[in-house]
Amino acid sequence: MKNQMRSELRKLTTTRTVRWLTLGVVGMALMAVTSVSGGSAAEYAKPLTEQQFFFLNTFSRLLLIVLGIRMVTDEFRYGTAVPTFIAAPNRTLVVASKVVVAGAAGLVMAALGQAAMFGSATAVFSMNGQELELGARGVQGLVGGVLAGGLWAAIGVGVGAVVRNQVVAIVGSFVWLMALEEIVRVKMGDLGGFLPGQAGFATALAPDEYWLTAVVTFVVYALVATALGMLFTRVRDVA
Amino acid sequence: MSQHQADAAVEVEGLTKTFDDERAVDDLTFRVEWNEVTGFLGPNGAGKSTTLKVILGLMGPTAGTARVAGREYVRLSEPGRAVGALLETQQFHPLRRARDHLLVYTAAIGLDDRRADEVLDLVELGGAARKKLGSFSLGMKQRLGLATALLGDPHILILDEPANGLDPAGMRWLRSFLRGFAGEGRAVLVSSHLLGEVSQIADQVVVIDHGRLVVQAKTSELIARARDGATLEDVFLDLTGSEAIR
Repeated sequence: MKNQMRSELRKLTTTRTVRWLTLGVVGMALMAVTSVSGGSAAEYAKPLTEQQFFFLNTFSRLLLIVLGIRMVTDEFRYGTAVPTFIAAPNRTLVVASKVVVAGAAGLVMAALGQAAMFGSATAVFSMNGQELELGARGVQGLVGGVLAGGLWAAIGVGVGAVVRNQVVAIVGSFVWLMALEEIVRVKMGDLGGFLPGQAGFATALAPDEYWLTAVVTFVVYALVATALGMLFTRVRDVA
Repeated sequence: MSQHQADAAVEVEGLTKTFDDERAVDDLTFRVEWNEVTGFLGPNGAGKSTTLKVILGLMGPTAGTARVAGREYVRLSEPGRAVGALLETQQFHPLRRARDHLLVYTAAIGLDDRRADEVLDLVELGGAARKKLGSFSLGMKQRLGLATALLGDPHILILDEPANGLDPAGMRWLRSFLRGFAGEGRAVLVSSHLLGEVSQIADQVVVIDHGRLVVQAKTSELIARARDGATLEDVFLDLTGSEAIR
């Protein structure tokens, strides 16, 4: 597995995909801060977890799930799945390696996004004479945001392995997260909080009493996505 | 005879592969022996590529077995060192550099990275190591595909139309290389439409049509059995009735 993980890491670092996606996450972090800096005094006075720049978690998850999806679907789009599975015919091991590498890359990208957000927010607030206090809830949001980033990328690998078609996987994920899930959530009432997008968001932002439940729920989604990705990859032909 | 040569290099028995009720490969049986180059011939759509993909574990058989050195490919302990394969020309990320492409697979197989430079030099692509693959010609991609196949210094080479896009010098190099490779006690299974090329390098040929075995024989015996002055191309066309490609 160590060899295959090295191989997956090299795939990730020898094209521009991960660099552009990281740039996108950092860019969104800066946009989030900008949106607050132009806001009212009331906006500044809100607790950190309620301020607008937490929209970062809403949009950065899209880029992080794309990372995972592309780690699989690029292989089929460009035909590199053939040499990959010839060199490593144990497909379960290949998917597991992709999940681990995607998860680690997602953690790093999300951490960079959070660092960019808090760093620039501190500077902007300071220039406006406001004090940005991180506090315990802020720290939890920071840690949760990074954790959610890693899990979103891991889930993306599972989605990509099941769907394989890059456009369908990416567009389908976006439509679900940005539109369909909200409709389903409203219909589900209290149970709507257990939907994947909600669980991911809550991993970063839920109040204390719900946070652990959110993290466990989201980890279960990542494990289920990984298991489905392994199953579909094992049983289907590599044409 | 070494341990890995106790079994046939490749052994296909009663192999059938269907897609939506259509039989791409139909009860196919043949062997690839050590120390030989085996030409795998058949008209377009005969089932050659599908057969090679089943041998390499990329597709599951509907029935029958395909074994490499006595085992299913997916059960080989070190597949990357046992078998090198080139199946299609478009197996590259266009934005990845040539050397980086190889380093992806040296890592997967567990090889020293210097092996990437060795095989690049072997296929005469050392000067293009830092070029992005999107700028490669078809011939260069074929050479890089061969380099990928050779990374693990394998005992068996399985190549699907490796001469596609090669210039005359490249084809001569390939011919010489494959003969030398088999001469070292290893084995080559090579599919090709270039019958003239196959007749020059193949010790035996396996001819299939509509997924079924037409004949497996020594190349020289096959030509000797045919009418006077016949080439392998004549024999192939007689066997498969492929008038359309004359």
